[in-house]
Amino acid sequence: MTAELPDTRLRAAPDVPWTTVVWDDPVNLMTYVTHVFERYFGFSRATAETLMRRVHEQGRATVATGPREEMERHVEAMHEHGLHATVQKADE
Amino acid sequence: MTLFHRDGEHVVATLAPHERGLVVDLAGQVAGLLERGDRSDGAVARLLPSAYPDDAEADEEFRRWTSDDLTAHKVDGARTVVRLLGGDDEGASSVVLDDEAQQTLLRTLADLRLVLGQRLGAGPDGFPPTTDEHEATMRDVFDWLAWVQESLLQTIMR
Repeated sequence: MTAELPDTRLRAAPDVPWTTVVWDDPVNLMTYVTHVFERYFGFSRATAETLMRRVHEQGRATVATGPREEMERHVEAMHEHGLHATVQKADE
Repeated sequence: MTLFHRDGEHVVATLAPHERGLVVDLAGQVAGLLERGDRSDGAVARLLPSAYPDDAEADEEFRRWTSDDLTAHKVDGARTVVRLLGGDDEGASSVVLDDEAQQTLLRTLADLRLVLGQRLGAGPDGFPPTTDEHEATMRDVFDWLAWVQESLLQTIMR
């Protein structure tokens, strides 16, 4: 049935974005986390500090949204910097 | 006493030889730890955390693609710090760090503190009480490394 075609295509390529989540940890310095956000993501100092504070105070912050492969590259880079980061679906 | 100062694009490290020796020693140990790669070791697990803690299959897939590179980069970084700070000229009063060397040192200091923090049981409220002298010394080292990293960051970010 032709009516199923659009649905199938939507299921095959769902437009659900993914996110890069950075988690609070008891070791990394707040200044260091700010510097990594500023330098790696190219955020302004003010944005980087806001995100760092969100990690520190709320335990986690979403620092990027987009395709899964891109989020995995970000998470790998965060791990390279010693930050605890995970890949998650945007609606989780 | 300042540990770092800026000189144009570069940062000059003026750690004392025994201070450089301590960082070099720890960086060598962390490189060895990563090369052995025992994932059941809590410190190794912290350096190579899960990208998908709730999805074992995706986690395994992600590790298959990334963990060799990630480990190699961390080992390279630690070995670079050993070379930079542990050069032949032990009496040298300063070491000049270019942009790449500054970032490598920052990342390696983070890894050293993550490993020490895991070994010492660092939590949100600091450390559990101890009467062990060696453990107390290592906590001082952990705090000192924070000071080194913070000083480097203040110099870079100014």
